Amino acid sequence: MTDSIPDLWPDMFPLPQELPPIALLRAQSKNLSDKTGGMVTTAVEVTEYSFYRKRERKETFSMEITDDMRKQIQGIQFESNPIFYVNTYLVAPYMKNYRTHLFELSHRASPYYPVRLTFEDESGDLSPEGEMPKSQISTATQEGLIILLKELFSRDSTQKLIGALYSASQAYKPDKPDRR
Amino acid sequence: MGQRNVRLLAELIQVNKVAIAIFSESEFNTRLLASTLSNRGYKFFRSKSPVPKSGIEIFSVYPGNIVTPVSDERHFTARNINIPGHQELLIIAAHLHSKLYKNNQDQEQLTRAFSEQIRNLELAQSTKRTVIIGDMNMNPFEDALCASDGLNGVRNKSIAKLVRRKYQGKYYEYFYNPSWRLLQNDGTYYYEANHITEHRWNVFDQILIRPDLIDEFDDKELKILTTIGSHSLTKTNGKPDKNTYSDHLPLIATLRIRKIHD
Repeated sequence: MTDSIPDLWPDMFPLPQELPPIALLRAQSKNLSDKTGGMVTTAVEVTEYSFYRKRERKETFSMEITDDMRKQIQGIQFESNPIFYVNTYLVAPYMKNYRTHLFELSHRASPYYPVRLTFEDESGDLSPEGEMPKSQISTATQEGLIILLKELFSRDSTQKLIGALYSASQAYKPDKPDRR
Repeated sequence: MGQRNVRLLAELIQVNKVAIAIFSESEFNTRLLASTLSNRGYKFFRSKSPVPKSGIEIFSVYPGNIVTPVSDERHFTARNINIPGHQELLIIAAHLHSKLYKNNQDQEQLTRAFSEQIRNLELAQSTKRTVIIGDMNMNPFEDALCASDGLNGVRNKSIAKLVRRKYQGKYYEYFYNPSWRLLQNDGTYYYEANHITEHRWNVFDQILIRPDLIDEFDDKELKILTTIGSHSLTKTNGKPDKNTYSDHLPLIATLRIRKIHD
């Protein structure tokens, strides 16, 4: 009887050409762990709500944006609330998995790009409430996201956080490996 | 806060046998507090964060291997409490967004995000033995603290002991919020502005407890302090003496932490 019911599905489904941003972020967890001898890594979590209420739009990256890069990175305005919020934390496994928030990435379910990064901007003035100002930057492509993440990971403030957790972790780890 | 007030704080801690003290927006000399207490024979340790972000200070009679930082964000700092022979505990010391800078809708959205951060932290720490304590900058009855996707705080123990509620197909775990009871008296914070609705007295300083810990919490011992020894923390009109001490009155809560084999 079932032989007479045809399979209506096509043989192939189109797969997205680009990696989901979360895959790109999760791969960086192992890279950071390897570089710090397991002292610092990241946790990447999808959350229902944004950590940030205010949408301050300001590009504060220190690197010079060349014309070629400008083609890859295009500031995109989101039409409404993004669907996914992907939050990255720095984690110190030897300190009972101590964690502190690093940045938020947001994107729609499909397509994955454009994405928007929101992070604290230490170069700005504190708000009257004593809060760090937030910066947001968007990119339309996976290549653009790679460039932005590289810049974000290299910022002084990120490096200082990693250094602080690395240093504090030394007290918790029984054997103290060399950093390099 | 001058030396006189640090001595007063030391007296508060010693007289009330405080095991863990949490301060927001504190400006006192932390070393002076520790040394003043030490001179009185009361050993108190400062629990330092590796990445301080919130400005919240935590002191304890327990050293760093018992009170361990597990997270720091702009509006809270969290500690794992692991007293030998007792069950572990997660304390989240919070100082949420002020009404001076955020409207109700802002507070609601930010509290939803805070609630999600707590759930994720509980997951990372594999615990549901969680206490939130601090300046919520909202009263216990406000939507952000009561809504299921907010802190889901309820004033009734038997409801909180149901552990969670289902709303629109999703489960949300309760917090028991005994701070409702404090509304019977004046409150912890007085604020007067020219708004059509004005509570004036507010209970912004609260403690919220996950169901797993309810039986370890002593309702009778939750109180707002208005005096330390012979010193009044309020002015003659009953409002907090913010010029001499603080614009918030201190909150004292007691948890009798269960032993491992209980």
